[in-house]
Amino acid sequence: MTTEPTPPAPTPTPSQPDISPGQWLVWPFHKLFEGVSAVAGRVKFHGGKTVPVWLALLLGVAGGLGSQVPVASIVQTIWSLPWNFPTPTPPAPPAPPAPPTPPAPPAPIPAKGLHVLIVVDNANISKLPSAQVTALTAQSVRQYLNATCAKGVNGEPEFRILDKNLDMSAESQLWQDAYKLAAGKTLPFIVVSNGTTGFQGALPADTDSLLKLLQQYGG
Amino acid sequence: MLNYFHAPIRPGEIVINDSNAHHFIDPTIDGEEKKCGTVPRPYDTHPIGCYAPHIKAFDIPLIPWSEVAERLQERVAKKAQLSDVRMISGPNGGMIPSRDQDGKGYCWGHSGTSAHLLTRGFMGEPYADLSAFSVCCMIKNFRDEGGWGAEGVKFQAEKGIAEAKFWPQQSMSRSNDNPQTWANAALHKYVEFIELDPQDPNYLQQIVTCHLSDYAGIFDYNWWSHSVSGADLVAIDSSGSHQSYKCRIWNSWADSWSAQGMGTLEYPKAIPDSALFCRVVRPSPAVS
Repeated sequence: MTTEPTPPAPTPTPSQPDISPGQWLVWPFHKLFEGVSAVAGRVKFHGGKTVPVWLALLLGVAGGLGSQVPVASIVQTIWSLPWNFPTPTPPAPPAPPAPPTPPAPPAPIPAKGLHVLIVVDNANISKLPSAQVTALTAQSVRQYLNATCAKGVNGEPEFRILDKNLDMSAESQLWQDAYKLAAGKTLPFIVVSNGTTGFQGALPADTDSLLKLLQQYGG
Repeated sequence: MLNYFHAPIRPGEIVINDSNAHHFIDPTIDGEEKKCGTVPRPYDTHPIGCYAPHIKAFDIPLIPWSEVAERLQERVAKKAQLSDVRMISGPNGGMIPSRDQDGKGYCWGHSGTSAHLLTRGFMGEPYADLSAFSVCCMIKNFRDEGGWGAEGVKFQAEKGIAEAKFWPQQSMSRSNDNPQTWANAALHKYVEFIELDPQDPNYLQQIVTCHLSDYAGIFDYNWWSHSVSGADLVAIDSSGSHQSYKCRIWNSWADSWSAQGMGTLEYPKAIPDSALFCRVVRPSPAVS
């Protein structure tokens, strides 16, 4: 009788543990628990798993603290943060050249200090707005002129409020020349001069604007 | 629209009305007799227009009644009345001193002199110590006589008024009448003066318009036999009622009378029997 050779027995395949993918995630921790449990007391969990006592306590504390975290407010805070993503900034265009400053007009009255001349049509002053007439004699204007204007030969302040078409021959040459500046102008007309620069034009409409104009040149 | 406005009365200011007016006719104050001296202007022989071309008839646009109270209110708020100008237009920026008749009947020449000073103040002209006696003595040939305001104005328009350096205040010396005096007086002439017709139906509106245009008045009062400068409008209503009118006058009884020489008149005493207003004087330096 012929004996058939016996085929070699298949090499037994190492048995694979029967675990789910979720268990794979905790597998490293499981092995760590096993190693540490060798040197400490162990706590047996439901299902037969055991962990060291100290680790069980640590996990309990961590879990307790974690439950106190205000997750909603953290999410809200993060949501409200500015989300600045770097964006490329275009290069600033070159600044246009500054326009040339017009030169200050020369002093209309060539004398040191503040000089003010107002020329009015006295016969028609009642047709002017009340605020403009009032400005001519308002105490704030007069006190400013008294205090700030250059002083004449007798110490009087150098300002004048004159009617049109006057005989100026008795006045000083300074006022005779200044008076000519108003010739042909629409009245009331004002000339303000501080010796360096000045203004010629329409009389401001009220006390405040007249005072502001005077202060612009008289300080 | 503001219907009525009344400016404040100054501290110590005398207010004259029907109840007390008789106390102020040639009164004796602190032992000193204060004279008046106005003779009512005889309009039959000196009618409106007789002093032309020196004094013109009223010729400016009237300010509507609806505006007068508001305009007065604004001027008072800004201290822009002629009496305010007087307070800072005198020597060294102080007050222009009142004239003083010194017991003579020359009020009619002093009223025009005070108006001249107010107008110089308005114009910013330097203070000049003008002497009314240079006008009155020449018109009355050095006699102490009464007159009316327009007489003095005419003289000031023709020959001017001298400063006290040339004709001392209250001096009646004939030696003052010399060429130097009249050369000085010619620097201080009236240029534009207007007179109002008391019979004109718009007489009060004309007066108020002049007040609000910074014209200095010369008011003759027959009840007072006195002539004074009309400086300010004090009260008025928008209907133009005469009863509402009050004015501040500048007397020529020195600064010791009333409030720095100024007082307030109420209706009916306030309505002048003759009214003139100065609006331009000759611009000139002062020598004194």
